[in-house]
Amino acid sequence: MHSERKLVVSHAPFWHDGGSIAARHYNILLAALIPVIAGIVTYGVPALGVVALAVSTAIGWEFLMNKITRRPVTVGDGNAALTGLLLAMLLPATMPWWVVVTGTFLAVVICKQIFGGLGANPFNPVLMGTAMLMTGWPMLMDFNHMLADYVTGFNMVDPLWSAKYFGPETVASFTAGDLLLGKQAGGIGTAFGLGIIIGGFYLMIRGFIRWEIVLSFLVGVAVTALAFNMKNPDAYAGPVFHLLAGYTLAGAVFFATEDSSSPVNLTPMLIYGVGGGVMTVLIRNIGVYVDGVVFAILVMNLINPLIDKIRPKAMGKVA
Amino acid sequence: MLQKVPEPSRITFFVEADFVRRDQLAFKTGDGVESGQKIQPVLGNLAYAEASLGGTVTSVFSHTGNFGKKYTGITITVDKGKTAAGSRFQEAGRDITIETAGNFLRCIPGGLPDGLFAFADKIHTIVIQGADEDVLGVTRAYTVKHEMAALKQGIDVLRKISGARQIVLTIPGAMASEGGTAGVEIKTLKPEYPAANPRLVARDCLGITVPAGSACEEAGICFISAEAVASLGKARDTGMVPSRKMITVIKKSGEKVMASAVIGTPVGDVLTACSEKVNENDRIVFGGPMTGSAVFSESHPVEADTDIVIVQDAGQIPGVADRSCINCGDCVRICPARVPVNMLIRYLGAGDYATAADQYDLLSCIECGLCAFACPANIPVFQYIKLGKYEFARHNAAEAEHA
Ligand code: SF4
Ligand code: SF4
Repeated sequence: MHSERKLVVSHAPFWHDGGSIAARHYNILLAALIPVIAGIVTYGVPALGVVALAVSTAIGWEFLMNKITRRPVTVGDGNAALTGLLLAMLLPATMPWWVVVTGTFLAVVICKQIFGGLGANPFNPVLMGTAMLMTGWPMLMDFNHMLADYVTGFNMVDPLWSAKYFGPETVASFTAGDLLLGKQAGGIGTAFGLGIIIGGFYLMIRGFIRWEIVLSFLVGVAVTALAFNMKNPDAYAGPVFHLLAGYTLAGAVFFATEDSSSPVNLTPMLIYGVGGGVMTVLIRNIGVYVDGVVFAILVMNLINPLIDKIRPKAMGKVA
Repeated sequence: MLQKVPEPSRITFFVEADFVRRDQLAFKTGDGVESGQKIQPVLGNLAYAEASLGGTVTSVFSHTGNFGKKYTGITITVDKGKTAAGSRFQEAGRDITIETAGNFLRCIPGGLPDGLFAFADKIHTIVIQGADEDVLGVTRAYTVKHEMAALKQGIDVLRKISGARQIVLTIPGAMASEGGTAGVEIKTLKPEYPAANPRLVARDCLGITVPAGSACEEAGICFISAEAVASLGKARDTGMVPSRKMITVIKKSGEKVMASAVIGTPVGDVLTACSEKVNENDRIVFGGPMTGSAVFSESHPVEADTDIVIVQDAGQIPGVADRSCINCGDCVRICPARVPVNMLIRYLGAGDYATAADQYDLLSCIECGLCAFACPANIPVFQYIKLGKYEFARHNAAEAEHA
């Protein structure tokens, strides 16, 4: 007779690859910190203040919502902190505190928790929150206005704004190298292109974001910008400028790739990415907004459930 | 190294037959059983086990397996004196037919699939699996390596009793030379999981895609483990039903031991023989790490198809979480059957099995477990899928009955 020791009984598989939601989010957080730190170096204490406030209030809102809805506390999975950091990335360094707090409230509570929390949000919460700020307080999201007092050693004008209203030759002074190194007026974490690229490669290689979306988004931007530029080089900037200015790189790496609001199948990922890229440049060149990334990705979020239905036939499926 | 587990003092069999009242049982406590005797515990139900040793019945009980499957368990206290009697298989003669195989040999080590009998006239191809389906297992490969003579005899029997035109042996890629002597067509498998999955073998080696929701046998392909084929060969050779099962035992340290145990032996005896100690809150898994099932107690017997036994230390057991899907798509990209797991899991979670099957390819799943292995949310995806299939089938059966 065997002693009746209690054994653990659970279901297959009995192995796991060790990945976790928390690891995923903390890695993305880490990658986002590279350009954010560069932004803090450029803009100093105010930028640090915005980042700290955004991260802490995002966590706070999530905790509060967990308590109010009597669900397990999920702040440990890193998503709230990531949401806060990503929102701070997009904001100017001088953003008033109450806008930051409102922004994280919109992102975490309105655009994520109300839909059921992580994975249930149909739109990217950070972009949704940002879009609300952009429409509610357009002046506060205007980098020329917000960063006017800064003396940084480079031309403190939003390159996208300048190119849009005064033609691409007005931004000829921004070389690709300048843009890559963050010598442009913009969001705290969106200016330092090189940093975003490094972080992006890390995330793509580790599989935390889907490279298909990142690359197709950039291709969409480049091809559309090139088409406009070829048609009328005096009115429209070229592809390199569009790739490196504004939110493009951050959008490709950190926003278009948000799990819940983007497709998972190959063809849909490509359609989604390219569509977002095309839309970005369309809005920049012929729309009313200076930067099109936020709305372009939100529009693609909207059609994501529809396009993600395009998928290979499952094995053995009859008819 | 081969570890021969001594004959146990007690054996147990689970027969897939359900009883409601005790008077439906053909056995009761105190009955004598001879070695080789066919044990058909529930009157009117043809499911049986074959007593690997003789003795006295000490308990007959009802056992519920995964997803509510009902079994009748029968435990026999072994009495060495009762092991001599010949079985009716012997009387049936050495010329094995499909009937004698169905009557006496379904529970040989390795196990013969029900489909071999249920779809006997449809089967055109028999695939002998010389590679274990789950990771870590080497039970079938062991047969190909060490029991080629018996395997060949078994192939001969299969040729005679089945109408199959084609007999194929699948082996791990690294064993191409060992398989060469079997005298049948050889297909080597890629060394990556789940290459030995029957549906993938059918598609990749035979060029036949088995329709989702139907058995491989319905498409004319029958999969039999190499060990079962070797057992068939031995049965014809000796006139006795072989009773020892080969098992890949994987210890907590990761060390592999090949053990041979009489079918019905409590797994605890096997582990003791392999000098593996089981502690409170450890886990014992029958079958591989990807698709096996955990057992409740060390009394659980070695069954005809128990190829792998794994012991996991309490500290090695990854947890599952009750979280919702984050739509990361890792499961979708890893799925060899192209099932849209991210969508499927939503409908399964909501209990909408009909939509899961109709629109999200529940029945295409080949049950490899990779989706749950990769899910960062630690959702027990595979469990949901198996439950979904079970419930869907049950619902359809109920509808058919009422129609
Ligand atoms: S178990 Fe998961 S990964 Fe494997 S075939 Fe089924 S759905 Fe696909
Ligand atoms: S791996 Fe898990 S979390 Fe990711 S999409 Fe699949 S079920 Fe959802």
